[in-house]
Parts: sequence; C-alpha cells; structure tokens
Amino acid sequence: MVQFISFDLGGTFYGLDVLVVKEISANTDITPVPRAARHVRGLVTIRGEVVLVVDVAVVFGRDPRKVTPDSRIIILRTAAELRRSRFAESGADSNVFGDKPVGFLVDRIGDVITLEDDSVAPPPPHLKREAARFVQGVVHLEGRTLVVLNAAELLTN
Amino acid sequence: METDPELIDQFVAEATELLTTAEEDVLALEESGAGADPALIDRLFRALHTVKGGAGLLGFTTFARLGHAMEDVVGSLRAGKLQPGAEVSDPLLRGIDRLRTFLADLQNDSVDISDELQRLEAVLGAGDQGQEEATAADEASSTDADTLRDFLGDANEQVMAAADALSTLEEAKGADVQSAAGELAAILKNMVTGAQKCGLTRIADLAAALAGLAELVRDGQSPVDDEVLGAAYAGLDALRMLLFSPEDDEIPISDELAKLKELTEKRSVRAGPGEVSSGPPASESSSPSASPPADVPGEVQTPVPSKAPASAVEAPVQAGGDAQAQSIRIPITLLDRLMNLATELVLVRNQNIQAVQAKDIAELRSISQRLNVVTSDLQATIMQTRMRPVSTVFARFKRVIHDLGRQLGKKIEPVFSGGEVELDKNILEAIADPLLHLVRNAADHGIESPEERIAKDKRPTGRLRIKASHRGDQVHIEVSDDGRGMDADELRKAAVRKGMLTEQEAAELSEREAFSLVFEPGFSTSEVVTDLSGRGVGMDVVKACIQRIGGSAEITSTPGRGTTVTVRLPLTLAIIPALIVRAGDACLAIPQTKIKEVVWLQGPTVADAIQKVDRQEVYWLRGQLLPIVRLENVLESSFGEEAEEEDEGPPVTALLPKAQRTEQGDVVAEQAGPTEQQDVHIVVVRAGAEQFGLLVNEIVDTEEIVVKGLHHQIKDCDAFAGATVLGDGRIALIVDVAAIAQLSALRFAEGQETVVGQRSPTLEPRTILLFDVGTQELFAIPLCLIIRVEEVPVDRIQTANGREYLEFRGAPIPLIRLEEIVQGLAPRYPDGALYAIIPKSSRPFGILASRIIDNVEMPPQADLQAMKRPGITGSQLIDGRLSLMLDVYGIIETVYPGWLPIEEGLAGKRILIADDSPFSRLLLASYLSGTGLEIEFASDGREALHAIRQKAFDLVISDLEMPRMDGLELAHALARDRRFASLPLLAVTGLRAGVREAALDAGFWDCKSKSDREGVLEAVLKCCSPDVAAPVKQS
Repeated sequence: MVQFISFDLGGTFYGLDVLVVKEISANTDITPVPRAARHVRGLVTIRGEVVLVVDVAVVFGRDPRKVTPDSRIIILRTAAELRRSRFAESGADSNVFGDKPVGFLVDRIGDVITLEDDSVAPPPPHLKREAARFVQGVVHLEGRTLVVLNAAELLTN
Repeated sequence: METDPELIDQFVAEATELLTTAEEDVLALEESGAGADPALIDRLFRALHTVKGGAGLLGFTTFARLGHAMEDVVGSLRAGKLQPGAEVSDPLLRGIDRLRTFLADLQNDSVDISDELQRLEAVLGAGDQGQEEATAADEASSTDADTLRDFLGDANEQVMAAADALSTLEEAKGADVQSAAGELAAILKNMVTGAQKCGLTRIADLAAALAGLAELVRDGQSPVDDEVLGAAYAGLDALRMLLFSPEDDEIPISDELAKLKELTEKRSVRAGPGEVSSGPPASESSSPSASPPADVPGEVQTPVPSKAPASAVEAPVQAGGDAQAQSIRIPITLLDRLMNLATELVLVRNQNIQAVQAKDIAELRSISQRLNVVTSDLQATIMQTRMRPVSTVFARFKRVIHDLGRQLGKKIEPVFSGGEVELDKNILEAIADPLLHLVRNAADHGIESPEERIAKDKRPTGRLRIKASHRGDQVHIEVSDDGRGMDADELRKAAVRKGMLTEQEAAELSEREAFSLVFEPGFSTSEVVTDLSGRGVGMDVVKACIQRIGGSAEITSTPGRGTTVTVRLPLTLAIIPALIVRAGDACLAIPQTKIKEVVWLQGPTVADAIQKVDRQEVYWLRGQLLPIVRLENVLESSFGEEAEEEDEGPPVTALLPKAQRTEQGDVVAEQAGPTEQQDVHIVVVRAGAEQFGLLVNEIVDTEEIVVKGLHHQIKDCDAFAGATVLGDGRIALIVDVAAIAQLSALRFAEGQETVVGQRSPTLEPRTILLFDVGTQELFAIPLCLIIRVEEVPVDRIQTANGREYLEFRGAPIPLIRLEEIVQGLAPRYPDGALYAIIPKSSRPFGILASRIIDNVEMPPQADLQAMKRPGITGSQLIDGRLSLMLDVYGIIETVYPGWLPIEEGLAGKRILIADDSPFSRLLLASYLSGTGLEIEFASDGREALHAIRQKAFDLVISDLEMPRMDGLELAHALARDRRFASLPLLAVTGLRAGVREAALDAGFWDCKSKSDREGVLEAVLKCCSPDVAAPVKQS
C-alpha cells in the first residue's frame, strides 16, 4: 500500500508520497527573500522554525502561483526526520532532503489517496524531458490523472 | 562489561587538560634548564601518572605504556639522574603529541609507538637501562607501598575468580557464554586498574590482553574454542606467576602476551565482515555514515577494533571530534547560579498561574517584568557555560612557536596576553586553526633569522605577540611580530604580476587595501613557499574561516618593523542583539556588533545631507566622509531584469518600484526627487576596518534575536547571514554587512575618506549634547562620545545592591545619577520617563538625565573654563545658563572603580596635549581619564615646545592646525633637537583628508581623528609601550 497527498497546482492534479510530508500549513504569510532565485518564494515560520517555501510551478518552468485563501504549504520532512520515519525502510536516500525544512506552495490540498503498490504507471512518453525528471509516475483515477511527483528530484534542482 | 561512555568522555576531557599543562611544563623545564623548580617536575610527573592511570583503567594499554615510559623519564629528572634540556624535552613532547592523537582516536589502541618508546628509552640511558627501570619501580613501590599491598591481596582473589569464570565459560552454552565472558572481562579489567595504580605494567598488560579476548567472546565475535581457552588458561597462569613475585622482571610473559594479542586481533578481524550478515539489523549496517551522530558515542565504547574496514576509516575521525565536542567542564558556581535561576523561574510561573486565575492585571504586569529579568539572566548564564578562556588555544601556540623556532633556526619569544578573555566554545574551536596559521606565518615569513636581525640592529630574538582583548561586543585577537614586515608597494606590484589587478587599479589601492590583498586567493608574497605555512592553506582560507563565524581580519604592517593581523570576533553566535530596520518593504535585522551608530535624517534635510561624489553617495559624519549604501537598492539589484518580464509577479517583485529597476546611477538621481521627503536613517556599520552607512527607511526596534541558519538556496544570495523570528512572529533576514559592502562594490580609502581634496567646513568635533537633571545648571557631553540616548520609563530601572541598572542590548548596565558625583546638586527627576545617556565605552554604562535640551555647536573659540571638580572638566555659559562639561569616563571610574578596562603601563607617565581649542583639550583629556596619566596642556605649538624643553614628557599629543606654530612645525622643531629623538609624537586632527601622510612625514608616529576615542587610546598605548621604537624617518 502506498499513500499520496493530492493537491492542485494550476489545474493539474498532483500527488506526493505521504512519507516525505511532515505537515500541511495554512500559513501563507510568506516573507520574500531579496536576491534569491526565482523559484524561492520566501520564508514562513512554523512554530518558531523558519521554512523555505519553494514555488513548484516555477520549478516546472511556469509562472509563479498567486496566493489565495485556498493556498497551502506542504512541508516536507528533513533528512533527519526521514531517517526516523518509515521512509528509511524503503532504503531510499534521504540526504537530498537536507537539514533545513522546505515547503511547497500549492493552490489547494486534496484527499489522501491510498493505492496498491504497483498502481503507479511510468510517466507517459510525451512529457517534456525537463518536467519528466520530477514525475515519478501517473495513476488514473475515475476520470482524473494523478501525477505523482518525485520530491527528491524537486529538491535537487 | 561495557565501559561507560561517560567515563571515556571524562577521561578524554581530563587527559586533554593534563596534557596541555604537561606540555607547558615540559617547555618551562627546558627553558629553566638545570635549575628547574622541583615543584614543576612533580606536577609534570603527577599529570603523566594520572593520564597513564586513567588510560590503564579504561583498557587503553598502548596509551598507558607510552604514558608510563614518559613518566619514567620524568621520574629520572626528579631523581636528578637526568638534566632538563632539549634532548629530554624533545621525546617527551613527541610522546605528548602521540598521546593527543590517540585521544582523538580512542578506538585505535594498536598504534605503533615504538619510535616514541625508543626515544624515551634512549634518554633514560642506554647503558644501565635495567638499573634505571628498577629504580623507577623502586620509586613506585616506595611511594605506593600500601597501594601495592592492597592490590596484591585483591589480585590473588581476582585471579581465582577469573579462573572460576573461565571454567564456567568452558561449560556454558547459549546466552550464558556471553554473561560468563562478561564477568571474566570485568574481573580482569579491575585488575588492570589496580596494577596500573601500582605501576605494575606487565601485570596490567597481561590482564588487559586477557580482558580484550574475553570481551570478544562476550560480544559474540569469537566462539569459545580450544584455541581461545588455551590462550586464556596460559595467560591466567602467567598472571599468577607474576603476582607471586610482582617485581621480578625476569618472568617471561611475552609468549602468552603475544598469543593473546594475536588471537584477539585475528578473531576481531574475522568477525568484522561476518557481522554484517548476522549481527545487528541490516538497516543500521547498510549505511553507517548516514546514521545520526547520536549513534557515534556508542561505537567509541568498544576499544576492540571490530568494525567493517570501510567504515573504520571514517568513523574514528568523527568519533574523535564528537568525543571532544560532547562534554564541557562547567564551574560549580555557574551551575549553582543556573539552579537558582531555575528556581526563581518556577516561582515566577507559580505566581503567574495565581495571578491569571485571580485576573490580577497589575500583578501580572509586575510578574512579566520579573519574568523578563529572570529570562535574560538565565539566558546570559547559560551562554556563560559555553564560554572558554582564550588561553586554552594560546597554550597550544606556545608549543608550536617553540617547535617552529627550532625547525627554522630562529629565536622566537612568544608573548601572550589576555588569555583570560572568554569566547563561545564553538567560536574558539573555529578560530584555533586560522590563528595557528597566522602564528606559523609570523614565525616563518615575519620573523627573520638571528643573523639577519643582528645585521638590522634588532634584538636577535624575535617577538611574537598574541593578544586577546575585549572591544565592546567583540573580542579582538592580535597576532603581531617584530619581523621584516610587508611593503604595500611590493604587494601592489605582486598583484599586477599575478594579473589580479591592472597597474592603474593597483596604484589606486590604499595602503589598507593593499595589505588586504594578502587575503585574496592565490596571493602569496613569499617567493619560496616553505613547508610550514605554504601547505595549500592560504590566508584566503584563514579569512574565510573567520568570516564564517561572523568575524573579520585585517593586516597592518610596517616594512622592517613587523606585521600585525587583527582578528575581530563576536562573543557568541546563538543569540545576538540586533537592530530591526525596514528598507522598502523588507524587515531586516542588523547585528549590533556591526553597528557604530545611527543617524536620523529628517525629511527636508535628506537631500542636502546626502551628496553625490563621483556616482557614490556620501554623507559627512562629523568630518568624515561616509559612503552610503541604500539597503533597499542593493537587495533588489540582482533580479531586476527577471522581474520586469512578469506583469503580475508574486509579492516579491511587487516590492520594487519601477524606477529602481534601471541602472544604479539613475536610480540615485530619481531618488533625490520628491521621495526624499520622508525621514531616513543611516545605520553606520563596520565591515572590517572600514565603515559605511546603510540607508534604511525606518528603525523598528532593537531585539535580542535567535539566529537561524539559512537554507543553502538562500545562502547563494550572498547578502544574509541568517534569519530570525521576531517577537511578533514575523521573519526578518539578518543582514551580512560585509557581503553588502562587497555587493555594492564600495571602495574605501585610507581613513574612510572616499574623496580627497574636499574639506568640510565643520570638522572639529565640537557638537555637544545639553541636558539637565531638573536643576538650574545644564550639563554637557560631547556628542561624539555618545552612542545612544535612550528614553527610560522609571519602571524599567532595576535596583540591585543599592545600585540602579538598565537593560541595554540584553545586558544590565549600571546607571549613574549625577548627584552621586557633583556635590551640592539637588536634582528633580520626573515620575514618568527619564533619559539614559550612554557614552561610547567598551563596557557600557548610562548617565541619567531628566530632560534633553538640545544639540549645540560650540563656537570655535568658546570661553571654556577648565574646572577641577569631580566629574566636571569645564564650564561655559550657553544662552545665559551655566553649562557644566562632564568628564564621562572620570565619572564611571569614580562610581565604579575598575569599570573601564585598565590600560596597563600608562600610570604615572606624563603627557602633553597641545591644542588651541579648549574643547578639544578637554575632550582628549577625558579619553585618558582613569589611565593614571599625568596630563598637561599647551594651547599652541610654541607653548608646547617651551614646555617640552622645560620638562620631560613621555608622550606629546598635538593638534595639527594651531595658531603661531602648528603641529607640523612643532614636529619639525622637535626633529632638529636630538634630545627628543625618541619622544613619541601623536597627531590628532579633525581634518583627516590627506593630512595623515604629511603628519607622518613630519615625524609624527601616528595620526588619529579627534573624535575617535578608541583610536586615540590605542595610539597612546602603543606610543607608550616600551618596546616600540620611533619610526624610521625618511630623509
């Protein structure tokens, strides 16, 4: 069994493995960071921690997203947190997650979707090579396509 | 039995300290030669003895053996059989080094120490080595006879118990095997301890070897087979024999010992790879390097090398580093204070609960205040637990300098001062290596060989001075030598030769900039890169290391006289006081340590106050030209082009008014328009030795901020040193002042003057702040002496021991009421808020005022009456009211003797101050109050010359611009008279532009700005210090 947190970003339906997600924050009061790269949206504070917010849309080569009341920030686990979690059992490398917390800005959060292990299909060939890096696979669900993202790749860009 | 990791930590900490003192003692012994103090030898002996004992106790046999051999040598010294000298101290120092590397890598008990042992034995005397050893043993037995008797009694029982345990082991199965082996190991370890205490190394070695084998079995790394049992029984038998006649060195045990060791090694190596498949869970062993550091100490405990080869390479490094970093010694008094504070905190919490329940707002307010006090005390005390004296690093240098001197064939005398200055442990660790490099550099490149020195008419022994001192919120560490020094021109030429600069660029460099070239990557002035300081680590790395921890470094040098590198460091890293400012829409924090002062420009005056010179905005700050950087512009400069493509960008780009996205030169022009109507603030900051003004829109607050590290994605912006969460929950980025200076490509010239040839009309510092304490008379303090005037609500003033305090930048500072000093004063302070005037000082304090009247310019020829009253230097009528000029530093010295750092070596010296302005005379005198100097005045050069011919002075401070005879003429006059060849001359001036060179040419030793108290003090100290010679005057 695998579980994904689904979310909406510019009309596309994406999913992230729950194992790499620490929490969802509704605090979108983002402090911009002058001189930072364009995909760096800024910083938010969550219980005294400072979290770097990445605009995933920009990483995909699209326009920055607007912040609306529905916007959320998906906060990923840090490498140390992953090592203490079930994630470590998969044998995947947690180091790319780094020691400082990072969050993804998304338009809207959906449900947690539970699937069988083998239900994620490889990404379709027509994906642009650039974007294909970040896509782990796709799942067809009652008329919608869930694009499963590879968080580690997103963080190494 | 596993060795307690805490015990190991303790051992490491203790042994490290003992080795440090031992090293110093060895060096001292060598120096004192035959007449060495017996107490010194005793101490050295005890230190080595303790280290050796501890090592034996923990089963580090190699360590113990080496320690023992060193102890023997010192024992012979003590008995007078050896004389202290290089041939003795050399093997001892080598032994200490070896023990140190061992401490860093405890797992590796099988290091080869034969070389060290050989050297030590050679010292003991090749001829009657046996006799020597016997004497050493004698000595041990006579001093520790009781211990020996006790031990032998215990040991015989232990051997029997061990034999029992061994036979149990022989028959045991399953889990019982391990417990039996554990018991055996424990018994044997006890014996090792006892034997070590009595100096019975052979017994200790044998028992330790047996214990090692038992531990292997216990840990499941070796089965209990005939080979193991055979070796163990043979070992126990030999042990019995030894115990029977403990001091008989003839009993052969080498076979047994060798067998045991061989077996232990074989088994543990074999067990290594097998462990991966059968041992602990796969997840742990599959990625040993990725496991969290918390696991590491667990690995340190096993003294037997049992790890898989791959990880064994990196693990020791980690383990060694961590073992040292994980424990720290804290004085009991500090712990007691923490305990008290914790108790107080609990008390406040309880009161708080009650008050909340009772909804007692008034009570809550007072609780909140107490909470404030307790929290900051608690924080300060916890910070103190991390503080370590700099002397811990200095101790290492003494040795390094000693070795370097020998290696290079130079005579170098190390001089340390300020070892008691404390720094955060992390900072101290981070600077140890950079400082070491500076010391090496000084010894290698700076100080000349004795012959060369003699030829230059210098003392054959070079002096390497390392000095730590407090400067405000910073610690300065100076590494200076009296060697050959550097020539700024040579550096300029070298930079051109290496293609780093064009000839014109090089020519434009100021002296300070030229020296700072040394810190550039790939820049080495030494033609021959020697083995010592040229080993791939350049000064650029030194600078980077220092900058990483928020410090800075600067070089000054005089050809032929020496070089000084000054390292400026923050006291701590974790929590820092900062000024919160707004620049554009961004809320930013500027560390207080970087801030000199803040200038508030009111809207209408901005356009006039900030002028442009050659595209660089500048501001005249008390006669100095200050380059101005608009913080807002710098921060937005890099992503302007990208942002323009976005029509509806994120809030980030909304920050930028369109006008600013053009070329920088134009920005300024547009800004000079109507937008300037708003007030702005210039935060005067220091970047290294330079200063510049950061222009911000608003000063929000001062806050103690907790520094949070930045994600590497943001680090690339090169503008921020971190982030912090403010009291209201907002995030503020912490400005990296040095990076901003670089980003905005500021250029600094000598003495801060960016532009030469332009003289401001008002250069003499003579603005004064007028205030009163509800009395008829006014009080005045020169504005340039004040860093801050703070409005203080009466309830913020705390009282302790009958003294009043105010929290300022996170620490309580004492407040002084003028009536304590000035007799016959009947002040009336208002009930609501007072003002605290905080003068510039390395340790801040405040003077209370009830009302701030005004800033006024004193007319140049003010009729300032000198006055000899406590706390008052002079008086003048201003607008018909009597104004008393305060001697601020005299005041603090009267109320709190010793508050200001005592400048050594000044007391009793006689100094002449020549200046035509009475205000300046008093100002200069006030800088020096509390130093014990005897001060006399002259109002122009002619008067000064007359005074100097009449009386002997130790120093003359002279203004340059004076009627009748100016400073330069005075210097020339003195230069013609040979009697005054060595009389130190210090120039002070308000006109800095271009006059410095003239002053130095005329024969002044140095030239300082009148408003620069620290600079003047430093120069005075330098001039008065006995080993400074007059500068070589160019003819």
